[in-house]
Amino acid sequence: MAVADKNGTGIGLYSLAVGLVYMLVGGAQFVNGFIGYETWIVPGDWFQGLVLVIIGLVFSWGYVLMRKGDHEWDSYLSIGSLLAGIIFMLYLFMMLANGLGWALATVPRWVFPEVPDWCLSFEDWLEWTPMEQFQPGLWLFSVAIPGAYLTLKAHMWNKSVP
Amino acid sequence: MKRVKAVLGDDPEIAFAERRYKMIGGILEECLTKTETGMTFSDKLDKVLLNKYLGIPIFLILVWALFQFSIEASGVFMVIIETALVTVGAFFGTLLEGNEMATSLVQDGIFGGFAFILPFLAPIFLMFLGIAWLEDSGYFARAAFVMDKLLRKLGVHGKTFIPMMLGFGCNIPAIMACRSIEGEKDRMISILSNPYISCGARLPVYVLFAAAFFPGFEGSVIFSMYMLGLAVAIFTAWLLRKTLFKGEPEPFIMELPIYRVPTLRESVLHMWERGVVFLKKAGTWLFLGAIILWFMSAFGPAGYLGIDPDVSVSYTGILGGLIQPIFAPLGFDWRLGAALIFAFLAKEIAVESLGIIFAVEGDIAIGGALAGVFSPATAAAFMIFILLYIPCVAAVGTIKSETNSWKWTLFSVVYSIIIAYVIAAIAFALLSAIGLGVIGGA
Repeated sequence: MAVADKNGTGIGLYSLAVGLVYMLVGGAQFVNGFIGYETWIVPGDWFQGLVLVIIGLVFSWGYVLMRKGDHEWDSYLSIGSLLAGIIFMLYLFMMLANGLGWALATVPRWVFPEVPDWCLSFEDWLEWTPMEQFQPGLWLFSVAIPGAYLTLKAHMWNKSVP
Repeated sequence: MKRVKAVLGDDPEIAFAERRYKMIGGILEECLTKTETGMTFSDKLDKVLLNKYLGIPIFLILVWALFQFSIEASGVFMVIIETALVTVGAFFGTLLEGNEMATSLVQDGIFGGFAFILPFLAPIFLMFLGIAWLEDSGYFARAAFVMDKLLRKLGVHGKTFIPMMLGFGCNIPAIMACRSIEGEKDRMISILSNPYISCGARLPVYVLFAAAFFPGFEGSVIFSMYMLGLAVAIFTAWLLRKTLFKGEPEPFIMELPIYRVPTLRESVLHMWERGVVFLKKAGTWLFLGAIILWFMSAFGPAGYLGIDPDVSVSYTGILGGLIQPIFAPLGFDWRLGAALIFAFLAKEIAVESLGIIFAVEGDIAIGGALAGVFSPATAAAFMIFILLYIPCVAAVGTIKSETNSWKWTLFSVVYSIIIAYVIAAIAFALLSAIGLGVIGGA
């Protein structure tokens, strides 16, 4: 089962657009990492930037193959979506883990009249906010969701073939 | 063999494999009716994951994600384990109140040592979980296939990469896995290059130093260490092929499993199988190491040095002082020198010994103490030395049993020390040149 049987061109253009967005944001993050420039939406980290650029390249590669008439171009959309999903899950898990640290650092302070000794070990998380994990790899996934949905649908259909 | 090669017109193994699959294909053609033609989902994934240009970058993304996952998400779990151990240690300490030496042994030696090591169960288990996902999904076999193209150019057998991937968990089963490589020369190259792959035991050292000296970049720093280990392993394999084991690598034939979604139960089971090795080690080697370390740090030529002793006059201090001049060009003092000696038992003991030498409790405290004494350049050189010098005593024993030669075992030990020293010295010089040679310079 192909990801894009009908409306191939539309999905191909979508793949290109997602690829360009990933490459643009990843490129900005890569440059920010080198020059030490930080914005809340694109913090500097050259390695994370490089990761996003490669994901963008995978998405865009599919469009180039589609233009060349390769019928299997949608594999690139699937893998691009899969990689984008993995990076999204990674930041989500990091957010949940640090959220637990924040909860252990703050909740006992509300519950107990005196701060328990063990609670002091989690002081590093007192100032933590979810924004710290709000990395481009997390929010960029929103543009890759349709691709991930199509991939998942195709995979499920494939599995059900006797 | 040469005649068979001439008749078949190809390497016999490749020719046999080709004919075998042609025959299987023929039989399937006759007895199966296909309801759908075209590529399967697995084939489609392979088209991208085995792509000539994208295959290696995708592999690097997945490995990077694995380390980010295990390092960045494990911090809170490490603190939970550490807090529990310190609390239990303090409780047992109060039970022995009145006997200073016994309190010191239980509280500082045993529980103090465990409080440095056991928190690292969190990143180790998370890393093994990630490795299990990659393995169970069928991707690991593809990684070997992708890397084969690069390795073959360097004259290295593609199958060498499979033990290398296993080495991320533990070098001992990885060295043993080299038995599956047919050619004697290829097998020896695989065994002798495997110890440079960074095993789980080195992870606690990286986590400690990366958090203390490179905050905010821990994941990327640790990923770089793993990649450096991989690069040195490949370089060593290339060097051995060009010098001591000349010749062409045997052909690489491998059946790729189909992709599948790993189940949580299987992945957790695989994680546990690998992680429990670390737990067993904690109960045996690390326990023994903690007692030896406590003894050598609490006693000196003058006898028992008391609670909070001056470790520089203990046996540990004397031992570290003896080798300190050798490591001075890397920025190491007697404390790091002593940690390196003890780490020969098991690499994680480096963390335990630094905790006892600095006389602090817990990984956050030891990180702070280290950052106040050493520069980021020294920290990087130490991580590199830990990565590359002699693998643990058990791995050396495995090299001996697998090569069946003291000569090659000794070669492996000496070569690893030389390469660790040279690369650590280069890294120290380069990082010092860009301003990271001063304390607090990151």
